[in-house]
Amino acid sequence: MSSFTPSSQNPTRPRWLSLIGVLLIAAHSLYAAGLFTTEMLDLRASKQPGQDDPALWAERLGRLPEVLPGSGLVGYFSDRDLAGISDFDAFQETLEFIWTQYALAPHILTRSLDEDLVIGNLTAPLNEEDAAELGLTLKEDLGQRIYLYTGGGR
Amino acid sequence: MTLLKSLLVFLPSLALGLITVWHFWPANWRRAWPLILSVSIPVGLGLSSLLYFFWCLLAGPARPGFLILELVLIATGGVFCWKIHRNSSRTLSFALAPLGPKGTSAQHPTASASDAARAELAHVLVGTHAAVPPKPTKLSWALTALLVLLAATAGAYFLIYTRYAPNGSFDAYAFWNLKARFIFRDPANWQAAFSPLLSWEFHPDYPILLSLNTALGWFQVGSETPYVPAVQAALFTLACAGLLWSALQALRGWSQAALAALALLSTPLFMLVGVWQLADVPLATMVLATCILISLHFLHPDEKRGFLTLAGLTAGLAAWTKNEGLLFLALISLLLLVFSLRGREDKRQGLKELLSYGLGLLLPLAALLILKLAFAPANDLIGSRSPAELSALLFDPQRWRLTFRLMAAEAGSFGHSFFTVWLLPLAYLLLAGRRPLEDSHRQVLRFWVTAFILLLAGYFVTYLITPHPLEWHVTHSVERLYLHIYPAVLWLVFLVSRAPEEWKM
Repeated sequence: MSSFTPSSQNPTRPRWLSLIGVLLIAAHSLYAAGLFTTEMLDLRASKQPGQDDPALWAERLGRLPEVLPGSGLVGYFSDRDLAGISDFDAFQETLEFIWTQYALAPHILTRSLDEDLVIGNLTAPLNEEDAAELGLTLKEDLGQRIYLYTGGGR
Repeated sequence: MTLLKSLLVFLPSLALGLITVWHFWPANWRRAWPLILSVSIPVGLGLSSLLYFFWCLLAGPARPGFLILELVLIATGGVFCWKIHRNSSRTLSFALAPLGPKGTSAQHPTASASDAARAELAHVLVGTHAAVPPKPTKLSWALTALLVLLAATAGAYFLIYTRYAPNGSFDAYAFWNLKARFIFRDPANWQAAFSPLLSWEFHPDYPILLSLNTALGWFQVGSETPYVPAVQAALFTLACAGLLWSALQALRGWSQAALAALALLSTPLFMLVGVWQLADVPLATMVLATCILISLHFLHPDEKRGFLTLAGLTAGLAAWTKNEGLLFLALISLLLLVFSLRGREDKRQGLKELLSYGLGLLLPLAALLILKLAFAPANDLIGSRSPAELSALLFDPQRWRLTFRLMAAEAGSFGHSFFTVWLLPLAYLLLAGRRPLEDSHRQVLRFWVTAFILLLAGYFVTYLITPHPLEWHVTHSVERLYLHIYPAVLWLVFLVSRAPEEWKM
């Protein structure tokens, strides 16, 4: 007979105690399966296929990718960059900047007014005086509160 | 049709991974094929990304011919491996090795022929019959059925979520898919993906395993379909669960494998990070693969040291996946150095082990050096701050307290479930108990517990010196850092805890 003792002959816990451990994991698995199913149903009820935030934002940018040259630097500013406007959602503004960069790659967006072309993501267009003060000239109103300016680089 | 194409473009990568793992696998591959297949997925995706990086450097991203290169490598590698394994006497040498502790026969008197087969499998993998995986029982089948149900639900969730949110979540479009767009949309200027002019929010210094595979997939499909990054995310999620299940199934039997995989797949955060196409599940997969391979090396230190070479590769690929992987790579390499040489009479053997590990590390390390030295701008966490600034942050007791409190609080709610999922493995270990451990198992535990404590300490220090608002930085990232080690912790817990088949009758 071998001196080796299989681990099954080294009882340290009663069976019922171990079974609780198994049941805990099994119950959590059923909970997770229910959670995933609920989330799937919620998604189907509340969203359109393919319409996530970056996709919707790309739609909002409209013809912007077409009117920009092939690649290079493009300026970007939004309400938070304008003096006197404090009523903005900083997190949302950051997301919009990121979605814009994602949509417009391989252009590189810089938070600057000094590039030849500058995108304005604004709740209201700049009046001529304010634009001139910033060294900007409106090139095109692309709708959906997106404006393309020639920038202060000029 | 696009979805089918997006699936097919990953086949060469997976085949490349399979050939590589098959080549270096030191043991009987026929009996460990689920584990080999699972290791092949991260290895294949990682290798493909590395090769494509060198292809971009030498020929440019859009230059046709990369698929031919992959197919040639697969064909020649396949023939080479087939010849090696056909003539190999590895299986025989394992079969002749001592069976149990102290050289005794471990064959249980009541063991059947199938027991012997399973014993051989465990022996081939870990070199001892002390780890003979128990026979499947009714409970094993019930748990496996539950696993199939959960995996099917999780798979359906993955598909539906991808259909409704094809661009994934923040990191996916801000870092990984954005870089892929730079490469795909303007291949002549693909280095613009690392431009220092990009805002820090896009982390242009981040490694590019995922981005390169996505760009390569888009070139091969012929369009910028969101299915390519989604399929890649699905493959990594599948590989992570597959690795955990297959390694434990081979060593600890069906119940332990099913329980561990259930614990992982039932963690909502794991599935969410998977469908969000973040790099944290791929990194967790690389960490788990490295953990399993190094564990197998300690449990069965063979002459060929193939597990270590594969571990070097996966540890290197962890660093090629995400910056956090760099810390993991540095710590693992350092620990391996210590564990290979400390208290060992035959230092040459230890050096050979380190060389085998280094062999696997070679390709990812070369790519990383080129990326970091030639392309990537400074990291936003280090930036251009002076040592005085850094040390002021590092030795600020208030930051220590706040960081510790925030990290502990996040650990207490980790997993996006209704309780912290750390409780699952912990409770199971306490309730089922620990099985008798051999020295090799203790070495595995020592190595990985040390590694994970150091890794968490490294993350802690990184938070101390962050230039971003501390509370924001910790609360927005630390749960994903915990996720990097969670599958590996599950592996260790279910490796050493008693399987249901071993309970007291």
